[in-house]
Amino acid sequence: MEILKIENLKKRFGGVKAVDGLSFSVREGEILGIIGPNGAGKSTLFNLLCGLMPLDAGRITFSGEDITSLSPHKRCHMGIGRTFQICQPFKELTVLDNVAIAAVFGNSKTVRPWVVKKYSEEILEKVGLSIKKDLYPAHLTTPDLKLLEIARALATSPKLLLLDEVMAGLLPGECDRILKLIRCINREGITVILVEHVMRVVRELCERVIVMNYGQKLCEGCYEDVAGDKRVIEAYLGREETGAQ
Amino acid sequence: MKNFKLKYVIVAAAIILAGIFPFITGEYYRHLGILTLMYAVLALSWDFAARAELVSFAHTGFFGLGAYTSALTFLKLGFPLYLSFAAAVLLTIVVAIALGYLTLRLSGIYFAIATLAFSEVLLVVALQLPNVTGGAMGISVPSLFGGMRVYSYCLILGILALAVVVSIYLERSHYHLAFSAMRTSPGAASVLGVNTVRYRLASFTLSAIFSCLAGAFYVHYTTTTIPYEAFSLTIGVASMVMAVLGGLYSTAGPVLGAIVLKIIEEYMRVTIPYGYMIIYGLILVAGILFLPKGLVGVQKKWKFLK
Repeated sequence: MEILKIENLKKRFGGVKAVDGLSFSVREGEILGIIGPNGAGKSTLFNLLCGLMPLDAGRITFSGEDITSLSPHKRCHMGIGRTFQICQPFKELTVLDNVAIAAVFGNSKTVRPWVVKKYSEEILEKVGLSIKKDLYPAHLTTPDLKLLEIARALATSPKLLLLDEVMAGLLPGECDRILKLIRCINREGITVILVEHVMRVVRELCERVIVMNYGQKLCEGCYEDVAGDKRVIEAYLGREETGAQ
Repeated sequence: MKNFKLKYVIVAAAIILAGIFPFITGEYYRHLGILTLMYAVLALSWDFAARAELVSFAHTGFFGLGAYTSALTFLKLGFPLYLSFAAAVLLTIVVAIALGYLTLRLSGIYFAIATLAFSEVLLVVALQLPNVTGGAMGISVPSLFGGMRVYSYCLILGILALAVVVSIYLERSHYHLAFSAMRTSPGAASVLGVNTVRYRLASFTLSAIFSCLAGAFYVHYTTTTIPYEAFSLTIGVASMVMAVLGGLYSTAGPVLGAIVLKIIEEYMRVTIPYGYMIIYGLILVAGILFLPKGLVGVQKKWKFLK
């Protein structure tokens, strides 16, 4: 069963077609990887999916409902959670309060005030940030900030989680920790879309990979197929000069 | 624990002092007290908007709107005093929501400019409708409570108390979370489920209501006003400066800022007859340079979940 379906999505910034007629669908429960060279339109796609940017044309269907023109907070209530590539913690608030925001506002059913604390602490426990709950984001390391991003998204009880380069800037060991966490999240029934440049992560996590280039879908398939595809290699490394020999 | 107790002692002392102040002083100090409380309401109301990252110059407009609506419904429609206040508040709510919607996409300096324009437009309207507003000649109303300053003091103290209660509610409830999230990152806030439009409009409207109440009180208290006074930019700027100097995003800050600045201003006005505004300005500059978080800025950060 498909949880998300996008049809002919288009977004341009002036003369640049950031997303150009993109269509695909996501099955419930899968981990879908989206890769592509810088500027391929991956982050723009996420912004369109969570409603931060209005789209120029196309249609987004989530859980059978048309959400094309819904505002971000309504999409969040429906079950779309996301993290940001550049972490955006609320720096005036403690780690715990950062999660509490998502718990208080992000659920379609209200989380009662007296359970917010326990609820938020459980989420922090799950991502492994419990001992830092009273710190302010300024005191967190990069991997911890990434975990906080994930924790906040989880606190909105998403059905679909959009992860925008959560591994960027992390050491291999730190990657492993988050990799495990994503697997665990997915096992609980949350569908995940992953934008990632760390190929090891994509290989280990994603059943299906979509390669984007110039705002369009270049190809789609399992990691091995996609990684061996000539068009993909060309998109990343450039074309071999054919007339040279 | 010790600090905790000290805080309550200070608050209790302030409430008692505010309560007995008009009964132990003469007319001059009563008048000064009334104006100080009025500015405290304005500063607090400016802070309400600031909490949602709105730098607003519309407070001048709402102050004047409150003054004129209240005075005109009182004079021309024969509304009783409190009903004229209510009429002013109702009109302000409608105008604030409309203005809020129109300026939804604006932020920072652009929002400030739009709200400045709003205030200026109201000034021109008040000047250009002499049949209704009395034009540049202004309007006069009978004096409030027959000129009994003690009652006027109680009224404005009541309005301030209401503003303080609202402010404390905003600080202790989920509004606090929403506002601080919107200040840091509106995008992230909305993705996490915060209805940013709603909270922005709520903060702006609440803020407008209290400016309007201050204006409505002002015209009845001083018994007369002209457009250049009721829609004077000084009002908006003063409330901003008081809130900033006292400490933004807090209840005590703007109130304290209003009291301190009003006392300094009055003291200088009396002791330095010429050019006191220059010294006053220098104090403001020094305050903003050396106390970037305001008078209460040294206070510990507040947590929603303890």
